[in-house]
Amino acid sequence: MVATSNSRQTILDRLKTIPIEAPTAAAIDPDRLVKYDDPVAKFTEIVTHVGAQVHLVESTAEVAPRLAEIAEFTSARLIASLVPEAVSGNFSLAQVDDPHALARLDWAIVPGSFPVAENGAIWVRPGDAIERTMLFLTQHLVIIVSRGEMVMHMHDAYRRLRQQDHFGDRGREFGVFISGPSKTADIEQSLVIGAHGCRTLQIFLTP
Amino acid sequence: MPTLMPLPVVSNGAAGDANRPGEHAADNGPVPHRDHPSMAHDFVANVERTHWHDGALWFVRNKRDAQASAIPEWEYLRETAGAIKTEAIARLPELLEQFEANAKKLGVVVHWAIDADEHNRIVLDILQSRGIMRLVKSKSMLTEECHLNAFLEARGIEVIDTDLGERIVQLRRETPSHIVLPAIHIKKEEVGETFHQHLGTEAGASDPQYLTEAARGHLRGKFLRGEAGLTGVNFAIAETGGFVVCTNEGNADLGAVLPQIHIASMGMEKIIPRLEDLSVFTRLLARSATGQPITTYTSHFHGPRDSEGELHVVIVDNGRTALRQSKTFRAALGCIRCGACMNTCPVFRRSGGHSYGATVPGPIGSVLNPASDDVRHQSLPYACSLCGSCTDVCPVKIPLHHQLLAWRKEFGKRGLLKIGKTLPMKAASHLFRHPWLFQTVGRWGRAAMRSLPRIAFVNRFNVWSRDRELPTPPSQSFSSWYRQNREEKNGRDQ
Amino acid sequence: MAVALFVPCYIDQFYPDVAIATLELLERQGLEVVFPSGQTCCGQPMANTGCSAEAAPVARRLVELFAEFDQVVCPSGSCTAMVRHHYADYFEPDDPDYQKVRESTFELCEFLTDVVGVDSLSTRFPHRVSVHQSCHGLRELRLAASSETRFGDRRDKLGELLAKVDGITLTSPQRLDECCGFGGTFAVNEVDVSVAMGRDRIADHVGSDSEVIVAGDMSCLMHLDGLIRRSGQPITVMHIAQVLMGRPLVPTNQRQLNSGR
Repeated sequence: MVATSNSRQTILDRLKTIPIEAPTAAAIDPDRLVKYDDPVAKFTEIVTHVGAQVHLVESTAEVAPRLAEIAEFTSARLIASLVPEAVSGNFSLAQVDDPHALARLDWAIVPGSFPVAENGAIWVRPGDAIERTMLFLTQHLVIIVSRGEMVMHMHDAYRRLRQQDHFGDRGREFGVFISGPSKTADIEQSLVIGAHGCRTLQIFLTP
Repeated sequence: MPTLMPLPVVSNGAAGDANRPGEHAADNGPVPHRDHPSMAHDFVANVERTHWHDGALWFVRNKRDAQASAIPEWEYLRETAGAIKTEAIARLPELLEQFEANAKKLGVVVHWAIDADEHNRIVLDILQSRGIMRLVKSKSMLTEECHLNAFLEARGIEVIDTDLGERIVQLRRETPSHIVLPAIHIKKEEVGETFHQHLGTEAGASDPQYLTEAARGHLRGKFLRGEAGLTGVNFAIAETGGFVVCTNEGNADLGAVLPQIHIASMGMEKIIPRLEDLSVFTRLLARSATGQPITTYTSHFHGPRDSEGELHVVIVDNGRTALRQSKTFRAALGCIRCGACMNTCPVFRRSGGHSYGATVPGPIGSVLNPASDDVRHQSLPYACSLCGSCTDVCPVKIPLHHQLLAWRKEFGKRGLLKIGKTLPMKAASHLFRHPWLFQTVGRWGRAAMRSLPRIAFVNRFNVWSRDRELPTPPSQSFSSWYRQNREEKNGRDQ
Repeated sequence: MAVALFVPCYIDQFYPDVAIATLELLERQGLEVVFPSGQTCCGQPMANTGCSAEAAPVARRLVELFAEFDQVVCPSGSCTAMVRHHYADYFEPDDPDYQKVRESTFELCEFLTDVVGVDSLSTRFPHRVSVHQSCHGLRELRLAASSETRFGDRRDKLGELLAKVDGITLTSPQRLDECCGFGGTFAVNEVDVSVAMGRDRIADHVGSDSEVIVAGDMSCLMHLDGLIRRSGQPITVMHIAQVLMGRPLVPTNQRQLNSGR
């Protein structure tokens, strides 16, 4: 290991040579933020625009029949599910001890914590490295999340993350806002859905 | 769209009032340096291509406008983001220590690098001490700034850029021409050619869908064989010891979770004080960058992936502490690398990112690069019509065009201006201090323009008239008209 | 007290009618206008090159010249912005003359809309007109909300004045306020990019079916006019003061090519 302790001190010393004064930034005033009359409609509009499919359902029991209408789902070989009450999946993640074993994963069904109306994002918090890998390696992703948990915007989202103490004292956590399937426009600004992550994203909004 | 990655780039040496710039500036390649006008000349010469490039970026600018106007509190967010960055830059030493302490609690190994070379050596050491030969990288402008790829490749390590745009330029042995859209200067037919050569796609194929699919297959293999993953850092949260990486493709996440080792290269100015500050920046970043409401993936890393995994964060100075000393240029450290200033810059759109001859091009690059090497990058603050559009799009309200003007004055103070610039200005200043002389020279000049043959003014020595007519000289100046028509008349009237 | 007319150097020498139109426009509003003699330049060319030492005495001259007036009006957003926002380097912060001139100097259009509160202009200009929003007027003086920030209040001072002209038809380029590429010495330092920017602006205005590009800064128009006349584009340029005074429109092909023949 390179000894960096000297550099650490040098850098901190340099930074402390001249004290710089600046006020603490004022916290965001909630009254000045956008509010949507119909957050579910807003969420749906935005995330559909970025390539996801949204399904409004009354219970998780509706998920499997809806998926059964999708050709890529019925022909899939490997399906992993973290929401067994909705979709059972056809292999057990318990057998997997190396994320690389998910290389051929076709579909992953995962729970989302809460959706964000303003930008169509869903907070997803996988339990371990295997669950985390699923999110990005699967060809097709399904997120099941309660529309009752919808927050208006990112300010409410982070307030909620703090209240639930997702970070900090709880130790290691990985969490991600996912908004739509993976995409790129690196070739002549032509939007292509399905870059490195999932090719499609199905969102099921339960009550 | 590509990954919105990180970071900055000021290399060594001083900005503004501090001492003179850097001998070990990381951004200086061995290539003989040409100034912006001469490199822009080559790009602009191809009118069709210039319009194509301009149109592609204007399209992104329009998408940004649409997103910004959809948020009623847009300007409020920009103000708040600027205030948070101002606070964070002021509190930098304290916040970095807080970040380090919290990150360590999460099992993160924190490294500190004074310059690009130390950053590269730290990364190399992490890899070599574990016998790692294959590194998968997501977009990191900091590693571009440090020229990490060349450094590692020279030591036998295979480095794979996994962002599609970056992979394209890597295969073509080029550099990114834009910090968010690295391959914006390359046409799909050229990508097709490159992929045909390297990935075996069909000759002549240029459909972006087809080419992206080919890259997906190619890079999946690389991900699965990668032994370590390197990402940038968009935001590091002092309060939690975690950091956020924003991408669209999913490449940073694959690179970070598949291998056991995740290295995150972080410019020290990426620090923000509080968790809630993320709400402001995640609302602004993608909207400003690509006109999306948010990036597809906004990943929050707090510690290694599991008990066997390792997470290393390398905090890099490389000139940033020096830039921070300068009251004039300090605000540029607030840059969140969205690239909006490039998309809106009328000069960038028509001259291309490579004309700036630096890792970070465009308005923000023209502010940062002279801090690392004022002589080499002297033409950049002049590659600007001072239109101010960059300042108006900047999500953290960096006064970019005023900083570019400030650099010009700084060059003057440092005695760097060439005689071709100073001599005409000394003459003009003399003229403008002597109104009688000004009027006389003006009268003679206009008389000459009216009487001498056209060739006296429209010739190869007059750059103005190469493509433009000169104004049609009137026989009388306004001063003279006023004397005749108002002062003398009034005199008569009284 | 009389309003002082501040005439930029290049307008004085090359575009006297712009200054005359400005003078007449102000007089038509019932104002007493004087043109203090000895004016030259605000110092912007030197300042924007980085030659502060050369800009300073020119700036100080200007302040001396105008310090006695309560209102100074300039038919240029760029020169006004220089005085209002970029003179700090050349004066002590509490210099009373500097403070006074900075606060009493107005660009023509903002003076008419905000200070005079112009009601009617009694002018006819029966032509199709498109506005070029000169950058310094737009983003330094905020004569209109820039397209980057035009969310909410969308005031446009040039547009408000032009709307008071009889017979006028306003057309709009697709890019509402992109820079024309003049930029002072930028026009020669970066000639290739400058010319490319100018040509694109002209094509956009021509495409809007405009007969004349109107702006508050003659310097932008000098650059555009030079390109228009060289390539024979079907459009011409006029300063807004000329339009507001109802000066006749002279098509490009009826104007002489510059100097010599």
